[in-house]
Amino acid sequence: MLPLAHAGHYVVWLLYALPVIIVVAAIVRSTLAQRRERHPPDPDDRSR
Amino acid sequence: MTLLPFAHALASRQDLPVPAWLFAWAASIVLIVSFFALAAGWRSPRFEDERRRPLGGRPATALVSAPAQALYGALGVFLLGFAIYAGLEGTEAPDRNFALTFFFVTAWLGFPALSALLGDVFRPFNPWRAIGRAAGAAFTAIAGQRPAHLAYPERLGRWPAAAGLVAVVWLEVVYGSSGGVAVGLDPRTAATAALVYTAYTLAMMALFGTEKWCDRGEAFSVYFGMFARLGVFDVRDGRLERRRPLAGAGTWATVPGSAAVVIASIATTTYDGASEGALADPIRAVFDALRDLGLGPDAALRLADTVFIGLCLAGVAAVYLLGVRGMRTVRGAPPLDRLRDGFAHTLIPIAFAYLVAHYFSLFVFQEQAQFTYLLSDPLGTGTTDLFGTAGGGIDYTILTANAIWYVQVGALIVGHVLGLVLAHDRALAYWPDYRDATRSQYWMLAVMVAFTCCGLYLLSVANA
Repeated sequence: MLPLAHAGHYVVWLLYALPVIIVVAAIVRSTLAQRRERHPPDPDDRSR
Repeated sequence: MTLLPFAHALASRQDLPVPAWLFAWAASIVLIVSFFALAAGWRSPRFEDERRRPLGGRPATALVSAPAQALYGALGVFLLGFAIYAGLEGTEAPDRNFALTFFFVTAWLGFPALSALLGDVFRPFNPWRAIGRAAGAAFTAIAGQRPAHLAYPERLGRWPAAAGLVAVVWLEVVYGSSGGVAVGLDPRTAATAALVYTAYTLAMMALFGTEKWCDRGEAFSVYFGMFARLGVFDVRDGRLERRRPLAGAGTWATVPGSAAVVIASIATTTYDGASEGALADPIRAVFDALRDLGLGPDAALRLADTVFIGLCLAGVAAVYLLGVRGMRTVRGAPPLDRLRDGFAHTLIPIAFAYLVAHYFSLFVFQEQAQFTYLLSDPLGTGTTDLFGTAGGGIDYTILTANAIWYVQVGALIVGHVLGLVLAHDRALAYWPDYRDATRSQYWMLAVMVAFTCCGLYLLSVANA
């Protein structure tokens, strides 16, 4: 029961953490997209 | 701050129109919008040049003249001496003794506020600098030559000041606890600590020189001087000058250990707020574990608090260094140490925002006491009324809980937006292509959002 009793605290903490998580996720996605642009996959690889 | 138990006695409960966590979301959106506004409209660095202009006229000259400097210094020495006297000879009740409010509210919170607006206001009033300069002048007059000093080890930089800053907060928040319950520092201990710090500072000034020690190792000079870099006024070569707001911050962190000072500022403020709220249960758990190991209540609480101050320092440093490390992923990035030192000044507005958010209400309430009964009855004897205000008190109703919350949110938003501005400007100086510069700041945006949400979370828990 103890974890459930403290669930309210974790939910509140998560609500404050979500903006940070969203921003970091967007940055990681953007960084990976830029790396794919700079190093596109070799088309010859698909034929193997 | 735990030393003044009535400082947080609010007359009203919080009655916000929306849940507190929504304010964190709104603040984050403001930061993101500000980021893209900077990316669109700020394409070249503006703060690399401070745009200094000397202030002419008799008032400006008189303000920084030698007689005026001597007067400011004498006033600083008098106030320090009087506060020490009050601490040693006055009442032990912390809220009735001049010393504690003067040291930990009027000076500790007042100088950052004045410095951030006006520049280095503390420097002319610095009592230790005044004593050091007077001693140096006396030595020169008697010996016919300037005193010799050791060369300051520049690799040490501002690390002694960072350690001093943590020590001051440790003394007030951790050492002041007793009997397993945090009751705050007593005036006599604060006065004794001030005497010890005076002896230590004067010794260091004798070793390395007054100005060198004030610039590198004297904790209060470095700490208040850090905020002063945001201000518009500065004294150079004996002349009062005006500079672009915020522009003075860019050259502050060139000394080793500067990042440690600003990180210590944010972390100790974070700890002070969290210890009564979000960290109260974990501190209690560690305290209980240490008691089970056989430690006495005082030692157990101090050790538990010290552990969590350490964790706060590590946490704030880690968030900042993650942001710096993230900047390295952008092509053309300078070396890691140049980024770490080059962006440290962007945390100064955040450190100031944290101070305002956590201590604004304490300052408003306690300064009423400072200028009423503490001024007229500084020793707290109950028999003195120097200025006829000994019967005065603190009106807690001048600030509602909602007003305090809105000031806290506003301070955090403004501080972090200014941090973003400084970071964006520095990035434009480091990356020739503004698009790479903007990309590099994605990670600083994440740092700013993290500090904002963390600050609002701690405040919401503490206010609950």
